[in-house]
Amino acid sequence: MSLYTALQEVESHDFAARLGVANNLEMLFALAEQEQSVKELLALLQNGDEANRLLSHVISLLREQEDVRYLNSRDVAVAVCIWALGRTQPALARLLASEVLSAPRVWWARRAAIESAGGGFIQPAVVASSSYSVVSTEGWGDRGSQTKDVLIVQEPGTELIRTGQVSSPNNFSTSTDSLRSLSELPGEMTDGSSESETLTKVV
Amino acid sequence: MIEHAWSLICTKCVTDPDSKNVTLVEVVEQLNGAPGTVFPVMAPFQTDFVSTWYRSDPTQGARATGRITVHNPDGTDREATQFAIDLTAFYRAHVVIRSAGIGLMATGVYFFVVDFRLDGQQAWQTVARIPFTVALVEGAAQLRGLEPRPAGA
Repeated sequence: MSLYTALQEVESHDFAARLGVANNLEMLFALAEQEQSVKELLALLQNGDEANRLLSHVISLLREQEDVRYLNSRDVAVAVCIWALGRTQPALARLLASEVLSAPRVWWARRAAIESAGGGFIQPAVVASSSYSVVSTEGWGDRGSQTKDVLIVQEPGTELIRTGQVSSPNNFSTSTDSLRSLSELPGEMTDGSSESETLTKVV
Repeated sequence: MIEHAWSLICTKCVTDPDSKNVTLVEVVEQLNGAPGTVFPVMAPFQTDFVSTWYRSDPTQGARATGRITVHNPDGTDREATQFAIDLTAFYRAHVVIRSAGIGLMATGVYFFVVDFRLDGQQAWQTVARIPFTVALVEGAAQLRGLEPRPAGA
């Protein structure tokens, strides 16, 4: 089964109807896992190129104009795609989730996106959405905290994703170790230098 | 009045449900791409830009608008992300701007510039400029621990 054959099934009304009996995200994903097309999708998404193609495809879907009076007919499909990417390529799932948060007329997909993008925060609640979404936790109930926490999920560059200019997550690291730098090293740095210095002073 | 306490970029900010303390995981100062990376490119790399604001007078609430603008290495600016800083009911606020990916134009030093303006004011006040280096580094994947380094390296 090719990616597009699998997606054709996942985006069908029959598929949405079968999963429509779910009353929470866990149940939705448990039902999705039973579907043959989703099993195929999970296998295909192990390949980074296929995952990138799925990402571009779903981003395009979100831009399609449908009847604005109704929920997006691909709502369940998009939710399943976020979940499937989360199982196989978590970095790409987060990219998709950021896009979905600002998409209109999605319900399941929005919940899947909040779960994917809101990690580290407690009971995230979406309070705004335009070019970015605010997922906030505030008040902390009766504990009387003096701190308000606000999580803003930024929409990444859609154009780069839509045109498939997404790098493999493995292509990037965050080390400041210049050991393997190809370019010239600044100042008096040597091959063993780090670009950062940490000073610890015990007082 | 509102004061800016600190801002930084990390891979994840987690709030402890009991103490409400934030834990900042892996403060990021540099992103290394593998040689041959073609720009512009979206690096699917999650970052949390964490900014903490507090009341300068603990007894006096205040509201302001914050703004984060990314300056590209070529001097151009990207669209700013604005957010409300509402300290009418709280003493301090942690604002986390989570990005699932960074659009990179080229290698070089990017700057995350933090500005704010109080409600009713027009002028933006810059409170922080955080450099973020993007480089092409051989063995970026090995540095990340994803692949073994070659023997003798």
